[in-house]
Amino acid sequence: MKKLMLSLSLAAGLTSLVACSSKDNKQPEKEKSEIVTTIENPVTIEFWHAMAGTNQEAVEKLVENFNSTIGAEKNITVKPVYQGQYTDLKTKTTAALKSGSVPAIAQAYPDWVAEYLQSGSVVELDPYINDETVGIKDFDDIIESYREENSQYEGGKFYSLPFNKSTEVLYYNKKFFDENGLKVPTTWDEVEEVSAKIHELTGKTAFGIDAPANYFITMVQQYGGEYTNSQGDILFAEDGAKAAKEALELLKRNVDAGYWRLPGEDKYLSGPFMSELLYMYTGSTAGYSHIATADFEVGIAPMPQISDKTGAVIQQGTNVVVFDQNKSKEEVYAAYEFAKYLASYEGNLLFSTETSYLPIRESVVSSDAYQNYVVESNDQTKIVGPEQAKYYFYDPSFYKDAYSSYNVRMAAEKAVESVVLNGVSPEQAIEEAVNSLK
Amino acid sequence: MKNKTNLSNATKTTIKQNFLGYLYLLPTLVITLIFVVYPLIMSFRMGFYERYNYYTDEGSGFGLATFKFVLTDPNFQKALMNTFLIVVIAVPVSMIIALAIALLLNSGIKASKFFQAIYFLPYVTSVIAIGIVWSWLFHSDFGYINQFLGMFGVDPIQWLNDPKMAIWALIIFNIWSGLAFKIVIFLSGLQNIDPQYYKAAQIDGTPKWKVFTRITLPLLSPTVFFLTITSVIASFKVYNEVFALFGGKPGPANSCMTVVYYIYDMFYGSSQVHKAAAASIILFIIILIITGIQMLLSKKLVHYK
Amino acid sequence: MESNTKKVTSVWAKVLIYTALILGAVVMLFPFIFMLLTSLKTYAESISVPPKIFPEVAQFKNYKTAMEMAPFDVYFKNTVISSVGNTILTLFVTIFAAFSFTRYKFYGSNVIFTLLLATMMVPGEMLIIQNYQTVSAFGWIDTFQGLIIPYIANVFYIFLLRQYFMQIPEQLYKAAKIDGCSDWKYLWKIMIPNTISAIVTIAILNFIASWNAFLWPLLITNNDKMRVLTIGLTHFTNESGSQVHLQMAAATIIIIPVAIIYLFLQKYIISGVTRGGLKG
Repeated sequence: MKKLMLSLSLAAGLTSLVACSSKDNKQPEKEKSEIVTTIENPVTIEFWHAMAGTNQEAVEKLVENFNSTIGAEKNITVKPVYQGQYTDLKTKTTAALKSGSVPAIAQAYPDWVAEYLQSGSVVELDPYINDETVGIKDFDDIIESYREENSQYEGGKFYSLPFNKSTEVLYYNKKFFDENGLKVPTTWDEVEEVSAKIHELTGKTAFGIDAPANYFITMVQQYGGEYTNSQGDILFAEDGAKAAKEALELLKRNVDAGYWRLPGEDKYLSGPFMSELLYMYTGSTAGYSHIATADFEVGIAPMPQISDKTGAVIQQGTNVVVFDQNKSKEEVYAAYEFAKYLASYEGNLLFSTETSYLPIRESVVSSDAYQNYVVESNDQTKIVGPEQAKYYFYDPSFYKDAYSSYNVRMAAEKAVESVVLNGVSPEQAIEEAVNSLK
Repeated sequence: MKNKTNLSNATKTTIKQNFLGYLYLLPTLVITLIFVVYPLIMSFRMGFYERYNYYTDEGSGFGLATFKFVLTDPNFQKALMNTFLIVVIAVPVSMIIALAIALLLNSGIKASKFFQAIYFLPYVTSVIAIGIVWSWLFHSDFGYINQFLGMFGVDPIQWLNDPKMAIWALIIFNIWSGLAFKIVIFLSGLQNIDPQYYKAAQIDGTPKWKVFTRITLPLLSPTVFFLTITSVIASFKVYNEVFALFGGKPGPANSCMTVVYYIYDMFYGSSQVHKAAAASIILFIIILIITGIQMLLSKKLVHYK
Repeated sequence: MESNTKKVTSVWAKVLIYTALILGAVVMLFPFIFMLLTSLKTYAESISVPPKIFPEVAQFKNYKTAMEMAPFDVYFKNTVISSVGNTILTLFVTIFAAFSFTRYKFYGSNVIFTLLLATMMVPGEMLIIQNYQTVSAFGWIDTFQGLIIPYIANVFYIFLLRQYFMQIPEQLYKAAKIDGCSDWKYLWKIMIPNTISAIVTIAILNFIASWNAFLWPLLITNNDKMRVLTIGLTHFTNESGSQVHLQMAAATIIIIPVAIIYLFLQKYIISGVTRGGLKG
């Protein structure tokens, strides 16, 4: 026991030494020109992810394919490590970044990348992407919104590459719509109209919004406003917050009439939808598997719009980020190669046909392999989702001392709930949201 | 030990008491210093900066600005308010119910062991299952609670949707979720009471309620003291219940914000670590004061042998 | 020994006691039963609104499917080792500390005790990242000492046991001293046997807490060969919801060992019911 205690206290002394010296070891300015693009001695890198179940199987397949082809050729072995759910992965990556044990590559939401950038260990990928020999030649094939999202950070540089992506669609009860001769709405006016009809027919709530914050962000955009930018300016509150007010008023009007609802106590709308307690809702394509086994045929339609000019539908999901903390240049290059593979035609085709996530490349969407898969799997989110690509936008990610993009999202959600549940006026809800971010 | 002879007996005892006292406490002190105090100091210091880079542990703007932010943040004030309600309502109610059940279990009935095992089961039940069941019980349309109240003509209550009612749902859930633990502790406290006292009382023909107030309660007071302090502390830490009931949100329109939920959200959600740290320090001071008062009161009210 | 009238009241008392206990038991048991029933449902049944209490056909295959989602056999072994190791060490540390606080009047003992109590309020998750740094500097990532050691000093249990130790009459100590009994012997011969119900309670509570620990084991393990059961439970959830039926099946299997240990140790908590009973 005593021996153990002694070694413990010694080790404790050691940590404080390490902790002190880590400050002097701050990463030197990166020399951009000197990237390594060949590997002499084999390297093994870890890939941290949060993909469980069938998604995990797909990740393992991707890794196997990579290791046996590109990896074998270039002396790279990738080891996938499952690190729990997203929040766990974030915690673990943060802890690892603080103690110098972060992996070469990890899955990350754009919000997280904005935070990780403070560590000085996130690798800028432009020199690799633009390299003559190892660059990504068909980079423009990647859907524009994904390219923008991954280069939204300071200086417009790429600090990540897209990986698993989803978007929102309108789910509806096709059987019910057919039986009652209802037309599937494409605009919000039509959603209101159809909702009124359904309410008249059934006395039930007709339509729901699975993610209240997404509704706010998307509708601000659709009403011709802007939500935030990557610098963290609260744009939806500017110019009298016209778009934001309209978005909240539309929601309030319909909730008060008993036509629309939020998930509230049910948490997700998939349950009530399956049990025919409502007949349509907007939700993530990633959630389709939860309603695929419904007793009725589920219809999938594009997100309703206000007008074509301001068409907007949110795209979401994680990217992969490369770290150079305590890593050799070879390891960093190896990580880039794997990231490149994940975003390549082969990698993305495999992943988007084995999981519920959507293609990130135009060429994948239009490929025969993908189209055949959609017919076989009968999963219409895989067609309807990417069809909206021209309207894709992302909610900007940033980290500021006063607040981060996460706080703005939470404030937006609270604004929506205050209007719907607390009877607060849209003006006041927006004002409260802005004030909470000061 | 050369100058042993120079020391008076009293001093010798003092030295021995100090030496042995610290020796037995050593493992606790070492582990606590390394794994609680050290990280605590490291995280507390973040609270004194206006800006903090968690990855490089560098802060700037040393001062109390972050404390001012937290103390004036409506979300934090709401959290304090809610915690106050939980302390004042949930703690005593749950203690009284737990004590009653423990007394019944301890009253010498035959199936006592069987019931005791059942009352312990929530402790091993999946937290997720508990969350689902309670969100269902509170459901405005299908929940048993509203159906039960409906029998008395009460209109359906929007327990989980209405920001004004949600805190009551949380308090009810909190009372329930604390029971299993409190029952176990009360039982082991009752177990510790020397049966001689009861035999003596029986011979004297003391009425039962008097046995309870004159023997059981005083002899149980160390347990009551323990549960009061730990339950009050636990009230500040209510987090899992909020998470389970509202699916990862602090209630409708943030109405069920609690102090530790606030800290977690600042730390893990928005990564405003310095604000999380400042809130932790405030919480630490509050708990220190409350615990100090309880310790002082205990000198009068708690009966050790 | 008892008169007739007394017997009548005690029958009524018993009816009342049992009614109250059964009602309470239903309330306490409900989530547990729900967990068992959900583990036998299909996915659609598990998320239906309003909830269906019973599955149409019991899906025992859920258990098989759930167990195939992760290497639960390896996880099981690791969980046993770390929980047992942690519980044994925790008991020693707790007993020594509680003994120190009750037996010795050392300088600063009250202050230390109050400060220790105050550390209980600190949300553990706040400290966890810093502790990861410490443990990683020790080189304890992917080791059992990393899983066990940081959590063997628990103020909660020290406080609890101190409360019991304090109730042991001072005369016993004086008598032991006269008999030439050392403090060490006194601790083992008198203090511990007299507070066995509290010590067993602490052992059970700690074992369960250790068994259910999640975030720390996840943080300090990368190797699947070192991971624990709770990490396996996350395999059923993704960002758009979870496969509740499988999750419940896995959760049910995972708690069986805990339930067995509880039943085995239960007699120490409540052994002397009749002894301490309030029987009329």
